[in-house]
Amino acid sequence: MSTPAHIVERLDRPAPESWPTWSRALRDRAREGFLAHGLPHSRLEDWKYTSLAGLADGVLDTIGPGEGDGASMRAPVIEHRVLRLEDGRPVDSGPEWPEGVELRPLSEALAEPDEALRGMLEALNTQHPAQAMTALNTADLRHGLVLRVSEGVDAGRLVLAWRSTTQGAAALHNARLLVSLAPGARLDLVEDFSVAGALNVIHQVSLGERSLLRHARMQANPAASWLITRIELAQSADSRFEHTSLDLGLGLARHDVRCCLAESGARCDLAGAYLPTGKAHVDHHLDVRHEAPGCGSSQTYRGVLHDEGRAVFNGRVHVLPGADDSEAHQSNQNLLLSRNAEVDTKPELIIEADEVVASHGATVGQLDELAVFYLRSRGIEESAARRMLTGAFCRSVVECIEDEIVREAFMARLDDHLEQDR
Amino acid sequence: MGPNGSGKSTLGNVIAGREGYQVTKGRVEYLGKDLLALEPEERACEGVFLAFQYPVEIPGVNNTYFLRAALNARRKYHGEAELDSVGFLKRVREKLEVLHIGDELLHRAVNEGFSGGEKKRNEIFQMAVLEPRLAILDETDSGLDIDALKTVAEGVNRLRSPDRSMVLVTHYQRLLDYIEPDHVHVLAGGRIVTSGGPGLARRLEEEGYAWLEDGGIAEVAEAS
Amino acid sequence: MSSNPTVERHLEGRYKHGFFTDIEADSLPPGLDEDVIAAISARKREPEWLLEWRLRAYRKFLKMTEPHWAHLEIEPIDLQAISYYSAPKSDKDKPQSLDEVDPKLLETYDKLGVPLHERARLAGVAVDAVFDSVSVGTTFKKELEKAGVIFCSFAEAVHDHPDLVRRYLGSVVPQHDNYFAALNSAVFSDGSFVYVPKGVRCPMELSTYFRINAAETGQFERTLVVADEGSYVSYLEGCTAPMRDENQLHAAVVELVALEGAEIKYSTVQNWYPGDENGKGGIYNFVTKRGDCRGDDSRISWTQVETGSAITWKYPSCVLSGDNSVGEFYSVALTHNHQQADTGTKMVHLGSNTRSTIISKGISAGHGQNAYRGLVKVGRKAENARNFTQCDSMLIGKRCGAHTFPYIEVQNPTAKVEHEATTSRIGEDQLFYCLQRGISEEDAVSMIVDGFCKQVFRELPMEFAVEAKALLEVSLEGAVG
Repeated sequence: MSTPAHIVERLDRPAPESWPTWSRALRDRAREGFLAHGLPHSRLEDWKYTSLAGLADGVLDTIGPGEGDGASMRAPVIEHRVLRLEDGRPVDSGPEWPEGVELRPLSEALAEPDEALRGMLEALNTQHPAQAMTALNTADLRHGLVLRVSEGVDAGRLVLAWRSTTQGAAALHNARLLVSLAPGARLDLVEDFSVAGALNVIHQVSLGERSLLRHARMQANPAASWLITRIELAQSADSRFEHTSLDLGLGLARHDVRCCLAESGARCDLAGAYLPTGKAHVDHHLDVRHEAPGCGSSQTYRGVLHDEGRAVFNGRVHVLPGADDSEAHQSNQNLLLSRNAEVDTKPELIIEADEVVASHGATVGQLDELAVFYLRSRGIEESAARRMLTGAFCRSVVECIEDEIVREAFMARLDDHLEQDR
Repeated sequence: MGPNGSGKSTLGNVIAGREGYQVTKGRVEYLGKDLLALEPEERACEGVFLAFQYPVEIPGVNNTYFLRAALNARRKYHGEAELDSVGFLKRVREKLEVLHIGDELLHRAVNEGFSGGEKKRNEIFQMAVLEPRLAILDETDSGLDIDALKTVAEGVNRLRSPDRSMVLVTHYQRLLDYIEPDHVHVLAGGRIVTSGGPGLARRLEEEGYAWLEDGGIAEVAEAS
Repeated sequence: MSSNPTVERHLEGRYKHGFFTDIEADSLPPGLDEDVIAAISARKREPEWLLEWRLRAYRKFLKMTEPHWAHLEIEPIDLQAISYYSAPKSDKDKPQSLDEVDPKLLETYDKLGVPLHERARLAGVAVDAVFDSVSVGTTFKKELEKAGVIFCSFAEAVHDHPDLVRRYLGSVVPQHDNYFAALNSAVFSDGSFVYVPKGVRCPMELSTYFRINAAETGQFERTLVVADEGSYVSYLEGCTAPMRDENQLHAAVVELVALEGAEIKYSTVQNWYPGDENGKGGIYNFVTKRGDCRGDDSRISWTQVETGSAITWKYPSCVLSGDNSVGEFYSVALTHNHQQADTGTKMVHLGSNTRSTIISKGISAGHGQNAYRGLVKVGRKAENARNFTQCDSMLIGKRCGAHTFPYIEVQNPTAKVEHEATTSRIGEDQLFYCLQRGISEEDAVSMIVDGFCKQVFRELPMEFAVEAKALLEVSLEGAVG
């Protein structure tokens, strides 16, 4: 499978002249890594059910100007404290920040010496074939944001509204977000994707001791779009990451989340609801590494599949030697409601430590017919009863969002989706 | 009344329109309508209410939301305006008060994590809110402690009225200590084998169903 | 918490079947090429078609590469260093009956705890024993013949029932299915063949004991069980091998075919030499087992107790082609010292109303690594398919691992698939509870482990269940404390 020409062309664009040599070397090496392997394909275990190489010809070429009009106009899920990005590029400076919060465009940050930034950027593997999208992103390192919150500071909320321009929608855009929370810092990060074309975003996050990052992400991309996200997270002692993902779009979405619970007491809770309709394809790949004793993690993902929707779930929990007294729970439940839909799920546990409590469960099935009857016997019409039950199934994921404003905004989008859905 | 497997629950389920039953013979006429031709929700809107023997847990669906959807479905069916939330809550709170049920019930998901007694109380509460014309209570008394049994009985007694029929399905006389029935029918082998007044229930309690099997059924069979 | 000293103390169980029998053997020199395959075939006086079948498999094999996807650390295997044929040379020919079997061989079976005649007679089990590469005698042949059941060595079947063999060989596990299956198809030496005719309920349990005796040999047996319409058979296999420092390869293929209304129960107690406590030596047990529920209303049930081998790599599977067919997999896999196991099953639902159940219990002790890997696939046309999977892991000690890799692929909206898994260790509180009631630690552990495995043992024929339980206790000796 050949890599579409426009992707390769993109990599020929040089880095800004103001950038240091190491960043150019990093890009060049990543470029080699990407060109050596091309887009990931189904022979790679991590891409078994989502072969970008297999889909590239069919999708990327057909993405044309105009497809994204509706998407690019959509108002952000929350309209306060918004920073807007187009084709991966920040187009405004975002909200005001309290003292102790620094937010700047990546290109600007890179123009100054910054060892911490360098360390983060150089940490990612760009040579493995399964990491081809990371290699691509690094080779095209250009747009993005650097966000730092100082010790003990509550940065409040930041809403990132990712949009696309109608011009050049066929291109694949790359963006990078680097977030560091110092000990005791807090941030509520909300992301709203409504993007035509293809967007490949990597978040690198470092959570200091006792820091808290709440992250709620939703996407409502149009058909024939690609959204590839990757979150790489390193957590220090007693830090906490709460992540909720809501996929309502019609295109392809691939989400990788990799959490390293590097010090004791760290905890991450990952949750997601996905409702692929049409030909939508949603793939979650989660990799939670318990590296230190006494950490906790959970993965709670629920999906409802209609039409030709396709869902892939691969949740891995790896408890490394020495990470005793870990607790890990995984659950993936799917309602498969159409003849042409498909679910592929694989909840993995790799346990190499002692005193570990780990469990996982995965189900694929339909609505409980008895529950449908119960509702009908109270006078509720069958289609409404089914919608009510399906909604309840997904809502429970969104209900876990702590922040009431975010929760209600997401719930409203979910309800809208459920309403128009059937 | 009737022994296990006599068809009591089947009767209730068939009337309410539960899947998995096939009506091979006979018909169900209800207020001049052929009930069997209606969908379960239409039957409900026509005033049929089944209190389930095992009420279903529906995680994620809030009780208030659920009841309001049910009540408004009914109003819509009869061409009435939907109740706004103020009107609805007023009605709901009245019923809660009458039945001595705390209003934390409203904030919970339908039957989720409820004890057996709480589930049965919730069925009675729903019945009170929905005000059916025909209520079938399928072993609503089973597994209840005495307090819950009294709540259920009180709920039933309060709802008794000349334009409402209620069918209690039960094994035991116990419930009938609190609810005086107008008629007692005994089912066995899918048929009503004998009928009578409240005295029949007491006789069953004393002598058991064996009494029926020994002679009662034969008597009836001969007669038919 | 610090490592438990009692655990360490017990981690020194001895392999009880680690003797080898000093008998003269007829072996081929190590090495693998088309001549070796021709030599195997010639020695077994095989018909032309079978030689050609082997060579076709070999040519496919040459184009394949060793798989590396399993959660295993495998020392490279030098296939040219293995001898592909070794037969005990008892006089000129193969023994015709048990009485003619080399007494030393019989002694070996006695040591193994498989007293061929007594035990067979007592238990009413017909035993086919495969020693290295050839089958050395089948008991109860006469009784089986009366029922019309064919139970013989694979080589015999090739001669006496060529039509049946030709029809079914490779029909469940194609030659090129995987690297080791292709190798087996090229070089398989012997194995067992079972055919149960229409409507016959096999009057006794059929049983095979496998043993690798000679050094530097591989064992590549091939088993084919065909249950014709409406028949029933229960088949048991047991495996042992002597202690040797080098790793020995065992790459078997087992094919089961259940026609309409037939039922096959296949039980395995695998106790190949696991290597010593430092991970030296031991059998590489790379086995392809698959059953095809080809007919409607058929049923195939796999039960396995895996306590041996340095490395186990096997996934007894069911292809549920027939409507209303049922597949079952019950497994206990125990890894201790440096043993590794990557085992599980595949349930492929193709027909309507097909059902499958998977119960897997993994126990890891010492440095043992235990992985469950499974696939449940529901095809687009498989209406109302049902699967329930439960895989539980138990960790004993600090340096072992338990892993779960279940793949679930569902393409039909009437399917219901449920997977549950837990990982736990023997709780201090459970142990203390037992100790407080006066039960010794070792007994407590075996009691808890036994309870953990009960669901699987229940599926084994009675006397196998007793053996499996005993084996587990032996294998766990010293695992706790």
